[in-house]
This record gives sequence, C-alpha cells and structure tokens, in this order.
Amino acid sequence: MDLFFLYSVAGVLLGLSATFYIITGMLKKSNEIGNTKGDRFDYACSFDVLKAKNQVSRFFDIDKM
Amino acid sequence: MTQKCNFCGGALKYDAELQMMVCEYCLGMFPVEETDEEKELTKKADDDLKIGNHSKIDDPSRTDDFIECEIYTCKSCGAELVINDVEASTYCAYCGQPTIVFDRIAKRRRPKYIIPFSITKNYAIANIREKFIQGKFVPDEIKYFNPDLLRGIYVPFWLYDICYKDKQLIQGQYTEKGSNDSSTMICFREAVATYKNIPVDASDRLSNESSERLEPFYDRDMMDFKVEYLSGFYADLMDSKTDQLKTIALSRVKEMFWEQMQKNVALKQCTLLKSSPKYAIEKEEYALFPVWFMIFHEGDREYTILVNGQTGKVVGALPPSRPKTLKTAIIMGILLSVLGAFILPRIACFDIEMQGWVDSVLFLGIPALLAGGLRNLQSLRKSLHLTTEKVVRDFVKERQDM
Repeated sequence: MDLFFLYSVAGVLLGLSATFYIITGMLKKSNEIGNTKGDRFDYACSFDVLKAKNQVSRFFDIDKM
Repeated sequence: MTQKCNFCGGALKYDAELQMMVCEYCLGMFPVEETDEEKELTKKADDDLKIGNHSKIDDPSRTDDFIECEIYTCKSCGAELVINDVEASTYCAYCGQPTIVFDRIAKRRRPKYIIPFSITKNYAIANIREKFIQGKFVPDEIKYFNPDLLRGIYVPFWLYDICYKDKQLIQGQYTEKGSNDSSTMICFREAVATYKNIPVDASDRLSNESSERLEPFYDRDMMDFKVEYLSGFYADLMDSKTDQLKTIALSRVKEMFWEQMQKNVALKQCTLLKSSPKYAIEKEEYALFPVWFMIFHEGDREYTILVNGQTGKVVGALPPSRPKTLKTAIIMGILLSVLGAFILPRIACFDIEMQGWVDSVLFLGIPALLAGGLRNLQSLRKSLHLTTEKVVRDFVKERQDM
C-alpha cells in the first residue's frame, strides 16, 4: 500500500513536470517571435573534406597529418 | 542634401513598393539615379582616400567620454538640426523634409552596397499584427496595439568572405546499424570551407543578438550604394571597430564549420578534442540593410519589435497573458497529475520488471522535463529582455521627427 501511495505521488510529480515543460514550450512558441535559427541563412559556399581517418587514438598528432 | 522633384520641386522619397523615387506632392515618379551633386562629392571622397586624407572621425584615439553632436543646416528651410555622430539620413524637425547628410557619407567610409526597403510601412504593421494575433498567450490589449512609433532605419553591416581550414580530432558516440550498443570513437578530419557575405552588425547602438535574429538578408536584392535610396528613411553609418567585427564573423564561421564537421563524422554527442584552425578573410564590404522598428507600450513598459525590411521577418517577444497562462496551466496540471497518479502505480505494482522501467522514467524524466522547461523560460526571458532593452529604444527614438 505504501508503495502504491509513493508511486501515486511520483505520478503527480511527473504530471506537474510535464505540465511545466508543455506550458513553457507553448509560451515560447506563442510569445517569442522570429528566434528560429533554422531561418538563418547558411552562408557556406563549399565544404570539402581533405583527409579523414576513423578510430584514431586520443594522442593522435593532427599537426603531422 | 534633399532630392527635388523635377515637376514641382517637392522633396523625393524612396518608395519601397514601387522601388522608385516618388514626390509626395505631385506623385511624380523617377528612377533611382545618381545626382550631379553626389557624383562630385563621390569623386572628391575617392580623391581624398587616394591621398590618405581620412576624416578625424575615424581616428581610433577618440574616446567615448563625450557625446558628439553636429549641427547640420536643412537645405529646404534653413533650420539648424542637431544630429548624432553616425546619422546619415533623417527628417527635418521643422519642415518635415527628408534630409540626407551627404557631407558625412562623402567624408566617412561610404557603403559599397545597400539593400533597399521592399517592405512598406503598412506591410510591416500587417506582418506584426498577424504574428500577435496567432499567439495564444498574447494579451488581448497587445494584439490590437496602436504603434507609438514606426521608423525605417538603414542599419550598417560589414559583409565578410572567409576561407576557413581546420584539422580536428573529434570524439563521439558511434552506434552500429541494427545494434543498440554504442561505443566511443575518435575521428580525425581535415576540411576547408568557404563562406560568403557573412553579415555583422556594425552599429554599437544595436545589439548583435537582435540584428542576427533579423537574418537572412538575401544578396539577390543588394545594389551598389546610391544615396537616393536613403531618402524617406533614417540611416546610420558604422561606429563599431572593425577588429571586433572580424572576431564576431570568425566565431560564426567557427560555429558553422563545427556543425558541418559533426554531420560529416556522423557521431552523436560530439566533443572537439583538438583543432588547428587557419583562416583568410578574402573580402570585407560595407553595406546598409533595411529594418523597420516599431515601438508600442503596454502598461508602463515599452516594447520594440523589429521587422526585416527585405523579407518582412518579425523579431521580438511579448509578455504572456497571466490569466490565459494560469487557466491553461491549471487545467493541464490537474489532468496530467490525475493521469500520472492513476496510471503509474498500477504499472509499477503490476510487475517487478515494469517497476524498474517506471523508476527510470521517474529519475530521468522528471529532471529532463524540468530542465527543458527552464530552457524554454530562459529563452523567452532573453528575448523579452532584448525587446524591452533601453538601448534599442533609444536607437529608434533619438532621431528627428517627421
């Protein structure tokens, strides 16, 4: 019975946390206008990988490559 | 300098919708062309630059302890106007004629490019209203606002072309296809990237955060600078030190480069262990970009909403309506709490395995939800701070009225 009561309380806490998260998300979406990084232009004209190596050691000397 | 109509002699203003110079008295329309006066002064400025005769205003030993004001005589009515040290175009407070402080443009660094206004004042207001009405938690008294002030201001920007090269050692989590196990992997990459026209706000009086949010400004509408485009709007020239602006441009390039690198290695939770960057600034150009600034008040607070004068993008934040927020929060809180209190113990007490799963959800879920909620609040608070910043309000207000 105690366990049941404890999980009920935990359930209430989870519900309140979810409410906090959802409400703040809705507020942000409704009242914050134009702060979307996705809208910002990608200024990159080119991106070329010259050298690639996977699974190297942490002490790999990048200046020697 | 005031541009005069060829038919009636009235002052010409640049019309954003028609993209032409328009006389507000006889409605005569003229294409945007360099005047003889401008050609003469441009030639003089070019000659000055060749012989190294720079203005004292560009002297880096100037301090900011004093406010610089210059007295300018309106060419239409002869009134004396006090303007600050970076204004390039304004209105005469006495006769209301648009006035371009042409001497200043000729003597100081002249912009190379300009994106003329293509969003009209009415369209800017309509855009703002649309955004306000869409907001569920925007107070009703704000939704149907009356603007106290709406000004079109050309904001100075520096545009950078940068070539960036780096060798990086990157650590991240690698998960094989079809497997749930992940392992730590370290990868080496050497890459080179080029970035074009990265804009950095060159006005000390407008925060970089605000001007960055206005982006993008597309270079398809970028024209060679002509003073005529300024007529009918306000304009400031640059007052930030170019070294600071380069640092900002480089930090943006570094961020974009890192994002591209992370996509290339295709690892999760990447951290940069080592790097050896090199860069070259291939081009720096000075341009003016259009921004509408709208000020309105609600209660005793004033808010400044920005609109990109090329694309119409609206930037700003509004205070939430307390009654609406509380009502929604209470209803949602009760529903989710009852659900949680009803379902969770039944799942946990049903099976010992399920209990472990429920414990994980509680221990990880509750802190994650709270952290996420706090991040949302922080972001909104920061945006509200930028919208109510005194610096931006003064940037807009401290100008001659029409």
